[in-house]
Amino acid sequence: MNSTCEASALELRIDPPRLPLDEAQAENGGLADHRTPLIRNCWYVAALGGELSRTPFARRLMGTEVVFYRTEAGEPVALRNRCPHRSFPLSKGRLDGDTLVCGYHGMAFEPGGRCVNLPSLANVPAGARVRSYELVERGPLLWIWMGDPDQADPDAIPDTQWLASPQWRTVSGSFHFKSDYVSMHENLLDQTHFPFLHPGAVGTPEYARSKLSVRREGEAVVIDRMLRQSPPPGIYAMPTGLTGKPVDRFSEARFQSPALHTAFARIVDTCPADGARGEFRFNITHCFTPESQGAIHYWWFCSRDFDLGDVAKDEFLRQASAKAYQEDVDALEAILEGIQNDAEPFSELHFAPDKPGLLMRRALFERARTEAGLRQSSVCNDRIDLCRNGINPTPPST
Amino acid sequence: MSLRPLIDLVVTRVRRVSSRVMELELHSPDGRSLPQWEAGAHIEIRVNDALTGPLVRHYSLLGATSGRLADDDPRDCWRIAIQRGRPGGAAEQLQQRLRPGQRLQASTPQNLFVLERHDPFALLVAGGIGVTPIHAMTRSLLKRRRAFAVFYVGRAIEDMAYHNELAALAGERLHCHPTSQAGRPDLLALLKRQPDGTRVYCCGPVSLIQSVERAAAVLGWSPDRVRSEHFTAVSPGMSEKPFHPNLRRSQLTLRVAAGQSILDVVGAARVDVLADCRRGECGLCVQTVLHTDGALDHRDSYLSVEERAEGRSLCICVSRTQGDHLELDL
Repeated sequence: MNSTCEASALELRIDPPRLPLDEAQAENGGLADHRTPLIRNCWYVAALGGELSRTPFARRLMGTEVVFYRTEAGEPVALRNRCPHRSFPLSKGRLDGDTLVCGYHGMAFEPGGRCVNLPSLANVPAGARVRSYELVERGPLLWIWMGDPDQADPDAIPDTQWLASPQWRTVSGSFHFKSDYVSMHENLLDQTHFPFLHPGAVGTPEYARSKLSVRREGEAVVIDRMLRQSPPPGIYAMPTGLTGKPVDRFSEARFQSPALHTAFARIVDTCPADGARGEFRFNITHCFTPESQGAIHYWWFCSRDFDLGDVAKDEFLRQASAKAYQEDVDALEAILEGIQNDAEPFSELHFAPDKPGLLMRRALFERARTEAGLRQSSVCNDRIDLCRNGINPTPPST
Repeated sequence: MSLRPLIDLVVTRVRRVSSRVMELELHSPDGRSLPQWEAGAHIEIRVNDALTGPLVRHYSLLGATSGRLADDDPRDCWRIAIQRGRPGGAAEQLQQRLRPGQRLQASTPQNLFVLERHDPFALLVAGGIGVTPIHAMTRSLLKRRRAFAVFYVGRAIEDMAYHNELAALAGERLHCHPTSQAGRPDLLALLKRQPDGTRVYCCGPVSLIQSVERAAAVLGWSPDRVRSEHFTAVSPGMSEKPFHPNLRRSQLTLRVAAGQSILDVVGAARVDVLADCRRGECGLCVQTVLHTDGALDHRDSYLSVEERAEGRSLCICVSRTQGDHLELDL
């Protein structure tokens, strides 16, 4: 519609062009997969606090090279690892106090990203800047925000307080491998694979068939499971000393955000020996950060609330967890490699126990779609045509 | 020639927001998302036709101007505001061209006026049309839940674009100062009553920015605590009038109107000159002056005092001559 208003009118307008909105929705039934654009408006784990020092180091996150260091006061810093002048990796430069000096032409950047020295010019131009990312240290984790800076709310960083709590003992490990976070999250919400991919360690056949309830909590997808009077799987049996003994098992698996999955397990010995402990808790923390589309960084943490000083149990849990997660990593790498090398059309089969994973994939797809600006906004279409109605467009004073 | 990529846009809405300011909505021609930007960012708009001649203008991006924080413009929409220029001037002619349906080209957003994330307190100071990046910054600071205040100077309240919308957003944190009633603002007193560690973000006429910088200096603030943005590098006390550059090697004589830059005109004549920042900072566009019949009006921050005194170099993106003729080795 072209406006026919007089030039003296308060407003002239035409309708803006619009993309057909179902274009993206049609793709893959509205489920995220390995091709879905990465979600940037999210706090991700960038590194462990111990990895940062006074020597800059680089890591690729969300398809972007990032350089990390600590200031003299110990504050963690994350800058884009690419000099805005000639793209030299800033991680190959050196620290001068709190500023990072590029190794190519000596441009110096303060922790906020502003260039404070440009040796070849007398005055530093205002536009000489490298992007600085919000980086927040919580327990052993450094959380980074690589999306819209206006949405970087530190209160939205997920709670992982048990990782730094004296009431818990944690063992951990990490992987860097070729998969995608969608498959990784789906793997963790899919408990029917446990007895087959991890026989004897994580799942039992009774557990795979036990009824689960799925619920959405905001964007989180939560699975609650309860299995009464069944022997615990190997990984929990040894540390609790309950091998072969029927126990009650309560678990919660939670897709918390694109960056985090947590699994809380409570094992209850309903008739403990005299003076023995009756309840054992495990909190498992899985953190994922895409390196790029098709590769992820993965940090896992296995925390327990009993026998905190028992190094033999530390070692058992570290090895048993690492073995199980390596089995997942191998499977997911094989899956993605297969998908990427398959030329024949394919459509996935889904079954009832896949519901949690599908809810998660739908949530990821919706977030990716919103970030891409594909959701129709009411702002443009609901506006009153002020020109035609002769209404003063200035909103009333408040 | 631009060293930065250009984006095609279509004007979809033109709306008067004050006695002197028009707001423009720009959309991508195919509904696809436009590049993302942060508060303080600006775009260069290019128009070149028989009526206006070549024009490059910088405009800060506004974000949604409904006065409601929850409203965000869709990703295929940018919003700018243009102040009415002198009758017959370049800005006036540009404004005449920018009607719904008009296609134009703009640069990708660039941000030379970035909000720091960890200021203990931010004081936003707007003068006149300088309110545009301040409006975007107000929205950002509210979304980021940071402590701030806005001080908005204008001639009269009815001339001050978006004062109602800013009041809706910022409430008590906004102070409007119409000089026709309240006289010149006491910037020293304003800065003095700010919390410790306050950083000032000022956009407006050069005279306002300089006054804020002087007040900060008097209070012993480090220069880094005043950040500013201005698009017309005007030397105080110097008028802007047309003149004729003569490009000796290209054998061309051109005309630079008030409001145009030598760089705009030289570029339109298809003489290839390297330029990047277009604000007298990077030094890429500096040319050798062979002769001029008036004083050189240096408006850059690149040339040294010695180079200026020598009178042989000119940053043609912002600087001019006060004479009628200027001969360049170009």
